[in-house]
Amino acid sequence: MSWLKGWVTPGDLRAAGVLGMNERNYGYILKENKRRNFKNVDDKLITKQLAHRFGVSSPGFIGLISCQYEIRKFEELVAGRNEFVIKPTRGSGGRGIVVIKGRSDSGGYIGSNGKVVPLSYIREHLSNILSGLYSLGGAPDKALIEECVEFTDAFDGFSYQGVPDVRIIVFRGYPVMAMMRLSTAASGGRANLHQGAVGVGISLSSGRARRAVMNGRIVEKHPDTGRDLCKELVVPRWREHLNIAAGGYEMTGLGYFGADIVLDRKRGPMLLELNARPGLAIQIANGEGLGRRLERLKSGISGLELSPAERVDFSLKLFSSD
Amino acid sequence: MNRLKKLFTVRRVLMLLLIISVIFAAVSIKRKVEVWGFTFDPGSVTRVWTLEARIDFEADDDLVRASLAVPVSSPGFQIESVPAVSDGYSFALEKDTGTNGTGRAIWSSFTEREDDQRLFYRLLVYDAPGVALAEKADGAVLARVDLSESQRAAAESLLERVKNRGGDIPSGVLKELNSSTPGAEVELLLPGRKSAEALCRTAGQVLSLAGIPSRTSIGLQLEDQRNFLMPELRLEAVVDGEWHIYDPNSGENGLRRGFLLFRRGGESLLDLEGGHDGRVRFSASNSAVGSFALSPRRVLGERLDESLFHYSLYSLPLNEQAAFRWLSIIPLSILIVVVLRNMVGLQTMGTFAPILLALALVETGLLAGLILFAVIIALGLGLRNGLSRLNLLLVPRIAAVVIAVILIMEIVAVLSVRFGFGSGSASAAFPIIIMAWIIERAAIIVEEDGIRNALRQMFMTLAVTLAVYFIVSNVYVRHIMYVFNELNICIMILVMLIGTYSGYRLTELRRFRELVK
Ligand SMILES: Nc1ncnc2c1ncn2[C@@H]1O[C@H](COP(=O)(O)OP(=O)(O)O)[C@@H](O)[C@H]1O
Ligand SMILES: [Mg+2]
Repeated sequence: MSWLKGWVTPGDLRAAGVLGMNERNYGYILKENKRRNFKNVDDKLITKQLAHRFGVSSPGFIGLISCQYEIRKFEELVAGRNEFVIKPTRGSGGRGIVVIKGRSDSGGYIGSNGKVVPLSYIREHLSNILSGLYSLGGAPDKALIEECVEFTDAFDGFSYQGVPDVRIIVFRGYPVMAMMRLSTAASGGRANLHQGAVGVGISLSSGRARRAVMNGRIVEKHPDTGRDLCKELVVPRWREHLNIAAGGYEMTGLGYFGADIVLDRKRGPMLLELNARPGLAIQIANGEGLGRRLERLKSGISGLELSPAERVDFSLKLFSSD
Repeated sequence: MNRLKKLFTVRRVLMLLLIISVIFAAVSIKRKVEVWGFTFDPGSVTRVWTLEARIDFEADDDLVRASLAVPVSSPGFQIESVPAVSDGYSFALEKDTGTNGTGRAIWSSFTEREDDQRLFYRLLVYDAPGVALAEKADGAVLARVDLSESQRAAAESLLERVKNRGGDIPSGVLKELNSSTPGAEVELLLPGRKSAEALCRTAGQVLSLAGIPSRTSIGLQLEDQRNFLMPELRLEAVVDGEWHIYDPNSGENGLRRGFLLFRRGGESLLDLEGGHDGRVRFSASNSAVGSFALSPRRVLGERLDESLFHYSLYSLPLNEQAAFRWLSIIPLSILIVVVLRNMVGLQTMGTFAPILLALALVETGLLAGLILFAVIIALGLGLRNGLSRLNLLLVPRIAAVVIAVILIMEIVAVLSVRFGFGSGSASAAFPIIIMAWIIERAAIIVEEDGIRNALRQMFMTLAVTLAVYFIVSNVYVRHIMYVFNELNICIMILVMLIGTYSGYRLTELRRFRELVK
C-alpha cells in the first residue's frame, strides 16, 4: 500500500478544517455572493470607483481610455507625469499591465525594467487592450491609467524583481486568513503560487510570517536572495491592511472575496484589486485549514452591523492564537 | 417554515427526482424489452422465417374457391402475412373463424378454371414460435365413441392403468399407445402402423370414454436446416377446462420451440370447391435480422395500439436515427467528465474537449487517433508560436489557427495515404475548432505558467479523453444508451446532483495532505 502514502482521507481533511474547491465554490462563492455583485470586482474601474466612494485607499486614478479615438488623448492624460501604470480593466494574472517609471529623451517612456518604451508601442498596446486582447474570452475592454505605487523598501530582499502583495480572505466583512506572495526567479518575477512564487502565511494578529511555502514545500529562506522568511518578515502597518480588506465588504457587497493589498512608501497600504474567486493555496502557506476559521466566524459573529474596524477587532480576538 | 425548507433542500429534491427517474427508467426499459423486443445485446438477432405454402390442385373447369387454414396471430410470436397475389384469383384473409389465432386464406377465381392450378401463400414468422396460449375449452364436445365391444374393453382397461398410475391422462394414454412393447390392448386398438393420424384418432376415442373432449391440430416444426416441411398433427385434449396440446408420437405435453400451429380444432387444412387432388406443400427459409431493427415491425405485427412507439426516436428512418445514436452517448460522456473534474479534480482544457476528442478517437481508432492528435497539436503549437510574435488579436489569431489546423489535417491525410498509414480521412474526424482551442490554450499556458504546467494539463485532458473513449467505444454501452435513452434522464439528474457535491476532490486528498497533523 505504499502508493497510498502521501494521501489522506476526507475525514482527516475535515478534521483539519481544510476548505476544498467544491465547498468553496458551492458554500461560499455561490451562496455568499450575489451574482450582480461580481462586476464590482471583475471590473477594476468599478472597484476603483467604489474604493474612492468608500474612502478606501487605492492607487490614484489618472484616466480611462474606452474607445479607439480616445487613444489620441493619451499624452494629454499623462502630461506632467513621469510614473503611471496602464492596465486592462478586465484583465487577470497581470496580463497587459505596463508600468512606466520615467520619460526618455527621445520623447518615449521608460518601463519598470529600465528599457525605453516608444509612444508608438503604447498606442498599439492601448489599441490591443481596447479590442480585448487581454480580457477573458476576448471581450472588448477599456484601458485604465492609474498612479504608480511607490513600493516600500520594507520587503527588500524578500522578493525577486516583482513587488510582494498581501492577500487577505474576507468573509462577511471579517478578515479570515492572510498571506504574502513573493516572486522568485522561477516564477519569472510574477507573484502567482502555481508559477513557483513563494507563499508566506501571515499571522492575522501580528502581521508576522508564520511559515513559507514554495511549490507545496516548506522553505526557510528565499531561494534567490537567501533572506530568512520566517524570522525577519513582518508587514508594517498591518492593522491598516486589515482595515482596508474588511472595508471591501461595504464596497462590493460580496460575502466572500480576497483582497490584494500593496504597501506604498508614502501613502501606506493600498487596495490593488479584489478577487471573487480567491485560490485555496493560502491554506498551505498558513499550514492551516480555512474551513475551520470560516466555521468559527459563522458561529461567532452576531447580527449586529459593525464598522470595518470593529470587525477587524473581532477577527483579531477570535484568531489571536495564530 | 424553516423545517419545511430544510426538508426540501436542493440536494434532497434532486435525490427524490433521481429515484423517480430511476424507477421510470426501469419501468420503461422493461416495457421496451417485453413489448418492443429491444435487447441489451447489440448483436442479438432474431430468426425471421419465411414460410411458403404451395397449393397444387386440378381444377374442374369451374369457378374455384380454395381456402387454406393459416395462423393469423398468436401471443408469443409474430406473424406477418405477405399479400398473396395469384393470377386470375382474388385473395382474402379471414380472421377469427372461431378458433384461436387461426384464420383462413381464401382464393376465388374470377373465371372458370381447368387443368393444374398453383397458389402460394407466404408468411413471415419470428420470435419464439411454439408458445401457444392456453385456450378456454368452453363448449367442447365429446367425440362419438366408435369402437367394437372388445376394443372398448381394451380401451377401458388401458384407461384404468393410466388412471392408476396417476398424472396427466391424455399424456398417459398416448404413452401407452406408443409403448415399445405394446400389450394386447394396444394391438387390438391400434393394429398396423402407428401413424400420427391413427394415434390421434385412437387416443381421442379412449379419452372420450374417460369423458375428456379432444381434437386434432396441425402445425409445422420450423427447423434450421430443413427447407421442406411436413405438416404435423397434434392432439389437443381438455384438462382443467383448457385445451392442452400433445405430441401424438411421444405424449409430450406442450409445444416444442419452433412449432407453429396452423390450425386448431376440427377444420380441415385445405378446402377446395371446383377442384380436386389438392395438395399443400410447405417450405421455409430463414434469415437473421437484428432484433432492434425488427422492432418497428414487431410493434406493428402485434397490432398494439403503440402510439408511444410511433412518437419515439425508433420510428424514425434508420439513417436519421444514426445522428441520434451519436448524440445519445454524449450524456454518459458528460457524466464521466463531470465526475473526473468535480469529484476527482482533474483539470482539462475545456469541459467538452475530452468528449469530442473521444468521439473522434472512436472514429479513427485509438492508436492512429492518438498519433494524429499529437502530430496536429505539435504542428499547430509550432505555428501558434510564430503567430504570437505578431501580436494578433484573439479572434483573428484563433481564426488563423483554425485554418492552420485544417491545412495540417489535409497534409497529414495526404502523407498518411502516400506512406500507407491507415486511411486519409481519419484526421478529419477531429473537431477542428476544439483542436484550435486546445492549441491556443496550450500556447497561453506555456507562455504564462511554463511548459511543465502546459504538459500537465495536456496530460490530464488526454487521461480524461481516454476514460471517455474506453466507455464510448464499447458497443454495448453505445447500444444501451441509445436503445434505452430514458437512462439519459437519470444521468441529467445525477449530473445536477454532482453540482451540489461540496465534498473534497480526490486530488485534494494529496494536495492538502500536509495540513493534516
Ligand atoms: N498601480 C500600480 N503600481 C505598480 N504596480 C502595479 C500597479 N498596478 C498593478 N501593478 C503590478 O501588476 C500586478 C498585477 O496587478 P493587478 O491589479 O493585481 O492585476 P491582475 O488582475 O492582472 O492580477 C501587481 O501585482 C503589481 O506588481
Ligand atoms: Mg492580481
